[in-house]
Amino acid sequence: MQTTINGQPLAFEPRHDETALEVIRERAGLTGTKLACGGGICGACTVRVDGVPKCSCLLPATQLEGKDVRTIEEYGRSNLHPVQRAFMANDGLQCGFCTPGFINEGIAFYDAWRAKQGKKRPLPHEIAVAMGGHLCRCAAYVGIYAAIAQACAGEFDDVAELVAPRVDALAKVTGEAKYTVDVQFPSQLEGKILRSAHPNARVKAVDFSAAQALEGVMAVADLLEGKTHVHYVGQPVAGVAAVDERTAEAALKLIKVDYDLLPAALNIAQAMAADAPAVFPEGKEKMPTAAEGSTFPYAWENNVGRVRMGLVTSRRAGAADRRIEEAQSNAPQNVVEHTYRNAQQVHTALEPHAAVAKWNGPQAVHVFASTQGITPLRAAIAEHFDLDKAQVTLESHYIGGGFGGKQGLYEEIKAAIILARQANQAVRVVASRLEDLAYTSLRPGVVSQTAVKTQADGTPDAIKMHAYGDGGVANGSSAASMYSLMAPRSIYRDLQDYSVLTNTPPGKPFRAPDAPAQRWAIEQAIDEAAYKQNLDPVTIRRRWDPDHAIKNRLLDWVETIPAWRERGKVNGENGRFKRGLGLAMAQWLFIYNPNTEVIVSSSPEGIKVSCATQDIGNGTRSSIAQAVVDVMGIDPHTLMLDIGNADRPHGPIAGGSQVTTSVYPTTYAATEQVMGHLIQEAANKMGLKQVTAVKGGVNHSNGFTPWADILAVAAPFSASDKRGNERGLLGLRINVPPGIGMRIGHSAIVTEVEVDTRLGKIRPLNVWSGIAVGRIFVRDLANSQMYSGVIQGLGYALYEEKVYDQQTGHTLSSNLNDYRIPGLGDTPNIHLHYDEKGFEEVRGQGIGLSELATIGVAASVSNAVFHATGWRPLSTPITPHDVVTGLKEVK
Amino acid sequence: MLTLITKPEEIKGAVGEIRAGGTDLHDRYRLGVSSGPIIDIHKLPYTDITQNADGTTTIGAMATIDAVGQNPITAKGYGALAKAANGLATPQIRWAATFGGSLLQRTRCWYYRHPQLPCTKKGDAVCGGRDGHHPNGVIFDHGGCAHPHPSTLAAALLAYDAHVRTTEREMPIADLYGDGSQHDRDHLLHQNEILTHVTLPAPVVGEKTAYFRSMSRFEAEWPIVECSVRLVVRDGAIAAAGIGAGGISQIPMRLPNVEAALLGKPATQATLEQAAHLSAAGANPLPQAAWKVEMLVGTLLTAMELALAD
Repeated sequence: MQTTINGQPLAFEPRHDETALEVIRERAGLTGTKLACGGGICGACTVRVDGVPKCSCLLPATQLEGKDVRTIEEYGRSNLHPVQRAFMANDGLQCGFCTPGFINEGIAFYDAWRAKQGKKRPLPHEIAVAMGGHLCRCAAYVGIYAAIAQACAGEFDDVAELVAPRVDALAKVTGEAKYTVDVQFPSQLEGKILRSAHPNARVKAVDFSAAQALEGVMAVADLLEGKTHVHYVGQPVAGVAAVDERTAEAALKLIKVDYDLLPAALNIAQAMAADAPAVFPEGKEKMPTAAEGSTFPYAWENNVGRVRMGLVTSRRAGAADRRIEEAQSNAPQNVVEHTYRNAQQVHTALEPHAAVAKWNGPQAVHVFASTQGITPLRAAIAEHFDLDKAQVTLESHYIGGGFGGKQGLYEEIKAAIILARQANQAVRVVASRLEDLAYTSLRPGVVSQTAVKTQADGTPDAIKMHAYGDGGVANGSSAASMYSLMAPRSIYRDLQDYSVLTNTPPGKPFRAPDAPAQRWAIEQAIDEAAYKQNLDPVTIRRRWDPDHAIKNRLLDWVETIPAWRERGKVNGENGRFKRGLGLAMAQWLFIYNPNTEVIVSSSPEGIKVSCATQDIGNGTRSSIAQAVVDVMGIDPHTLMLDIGNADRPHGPIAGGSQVTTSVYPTTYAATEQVMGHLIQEAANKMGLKQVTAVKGGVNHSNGFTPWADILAVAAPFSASDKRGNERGLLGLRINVPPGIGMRIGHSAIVTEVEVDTRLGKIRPLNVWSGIAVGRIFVRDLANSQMYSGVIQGLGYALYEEKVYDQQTGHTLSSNLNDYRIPGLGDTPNIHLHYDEKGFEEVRGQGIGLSELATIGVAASVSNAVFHATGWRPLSTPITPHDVVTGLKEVK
Repeated sequence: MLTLITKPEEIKGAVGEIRAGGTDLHDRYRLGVSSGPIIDIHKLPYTDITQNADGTTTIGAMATIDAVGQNPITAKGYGALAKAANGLATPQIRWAATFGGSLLQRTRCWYYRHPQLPCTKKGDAVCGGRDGHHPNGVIFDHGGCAHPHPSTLAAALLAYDAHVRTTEREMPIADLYGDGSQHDRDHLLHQNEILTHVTLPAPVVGEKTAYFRSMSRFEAEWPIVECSVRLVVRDGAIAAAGIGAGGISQIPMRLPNVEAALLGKPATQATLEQAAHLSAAGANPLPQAAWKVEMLVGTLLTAMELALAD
């Protein structure tokens, strides 16, 4: 057969089940086209076939015959399409993995729109319908709407200048950006993982012989690594590396595992039952953790671990409980108590968990991994495989999203390294979408008993939260404990966390671990307390922390929102559709990495910045670039941003909102040194007099000279700087990474929803997100993080739920039809507000915002649903089923 | 093994699963739910949508879903079908998937589409969903598989009394699916029988139509319940009605009792509400799916309201 891809003819004879995607990626070697969901739902693989966008993952290769195929590589960086320029200018992308699909669809829409409508601007609704076959997990939808609308309106038709607040946008809109799944060593093998089909079992024997005998199989490896038991469906048992994916999959079926099946606990109720089977019958020594950083000490009773932090996290716990109990009988109007629930959520990065490994001799391994933390991952690889760190080369240049789920030495990375060693060839292991949704990572579910007792004016008297976290086989729940770090100090409180182990896959941190669940309970309880006592929701929150300047400023801002001021009473609308507004406050810690070190160097090639950190779409590169720009006024697109390699100075992980506050001030200081050197060189080598730095170069007695001219003659120079510690407890600068500064970021979220009381659909209309984290370093990217925090929070509130089959422990929500993440059309109008005062003493004057941007969203949605309908949802996600059944309670 | 055919008679003796647009088949192959040889029919010529001399319309099974939604003949004369076509899946799927394939796709049940979960449609002894998790299960249960039929267009075609033509026979669209008593079939075509055309009766002038699906998000989601509605209003009264519903049973359903309740009644909200409530009659929902009975009533009412406003 003959086809044409981007004008190049290609002859091929397809296998019977070959898809267009395989022709494009494997035969033509064009890796800009991405496989993400594999089911025609997310659109990441979209290409244009005779001008028509098609999902290449589902398109038979036979249908390419005689066709003109266009991929993201059609336009190079010197010949950008207006749609590509518009995506860059509007930051309609974060990690970039879905971007090629969006842009291909966008180009087709642009062509059709122009032909019919000219330069009329399409409405958001028209864009949402046209782009309905695309999902962006980073939720760059606000920028995507703007990009499509502006491109269609002709605003990028004749633009020569590259505008892009995100410095790596160009690589992402052209398909140049190479992700781990795109790495291709010569004669690279495909690795696949045999996973336990049972939720709890002892492994008696594994027989590899038939798999080893299969032609094309190059390695079969044990992945139990000394473990005698498997504890969840999906736990790796063995791995196969073969010449291609189909052979590897066929080999998996030939491995015989002899299991001794044991009873399993598949949910919290089963795990807490008096006669519950032990999730770890052989002992808990190898239990993983879902916590960010180190874990709490536990007191275990079978599957239930009580966090032994009560003395630290609680204050007068007994008195708090007494106040709540007494009020239940004496003053029930002053107390609110419920059981609140949150389903497990799945990270769902569109680039799945993936790694490529190749050994260069027995003591040197080269790894590419889709990771949020190259520095700790290299250390973990070295430790696990008994190597020195210097023997591990680890690279991760582009990462297709993480959200917390790609930390540490995860199973796919381990499998790739083990299989590569055994095969003595490069091996790639990529989780399928089913594996990624079912086994690789999840945010623990939470069930909490939460109570709030106030005085009649809303002043808090006591709070109680006993939270039970379901992170599967992983411990690490912190919903209640976390509140102690953020609660007003004076309140009596009984805060207790329990980790409940279940025979389901391990939880991992997810954008602000457990904080959304903690807010879900407490912010709803406070809201309900307000309505019960006829208090304004803002008023009661002022009582909560009356002298807190930042919180009060945020609440002042809430009161300026016209829709908030003009809102009616609870359940005040008649008719099928009811609107309501809800408020929630949120807090997050100030986390940074004090060991962050950045080297800035100058040479005739330009300015280079090196740091062993990574960009998962959060904007690490752009934060670094901004610091250089703020010092020198140099074009950010000329910078060499040398990140994504673990063999560089220590850098922060992408987690806990620590990146920008770690790299920006550090890069800034190192750049100042480099600039000092360049100014000296301008005098020494170029003979310039009265040299002073200005934007883009230097002024001197003879006029202006740009940095590029000075760089060309200046001696190469390097400078480094370390982030260093903030003052911590007792004002001490203690170095225990990740550093936790003694500051808290605050936010206020107001959400307006429309509830379809007939069909149970909740439509978010407007979200006002106000945040106080001090200085905003890179405004356009901060905006993107804020928007995506809102949209991901809406997913948590309304759609996302990891569903298990309760007979087998298998995950049912294992494709992107059944695991539902927000789409373009689900995006509300989002209004941002930054309060930048109050963090002047912090190095750089600002702290991170990404976690905080999502924490309060779900609680604000629920409070809005209550305001609209008089019914208070206590569980996430709030599905149509919950709404139609819940509204009956109100009647 | 790949058998690529260009004429229907070439399928004789060919072995494998039939692939047209591939949008269902490749999902199953990638998941490991299906495997084996493929008979590729994408070059069969049945792509035309034509109005016949007697006023009827014939749609080739190889026409894309997008073509069914956008073609002037269907868009003008068969609004409920065209709107259903435009309202399903995503643009890329509608551009690639065929009309015939949309009628013959396999179930979208999560037990079926999981390679390790039991499903009678995959030859297992038990249906995982019936005893397991089925909040989106059937509410008009015929036994066997617990998941509703996936075809949006089949329900719309029922409302049009469409006929289908295959390489072997011609039959009413309802016969393509049977009465639900033949468990674990998504359709009743024989091995290597190819659906070639669908014929619709002549358009009804002035017909008001709508398609509506309930779901949790804005778009691109399999429906909780979906309805296709045709109404003819004369002198303020409903003179004709056709109602197809999906997401509720193992087979796509027509709702004759609702149609009967509408006939001759004034075209008012009260009439629609009374009729919509009749859609629940005879429902025997699976336990976790009982909430969908109310969703059927609400979805149908919404679709009928949209039709009246058409």
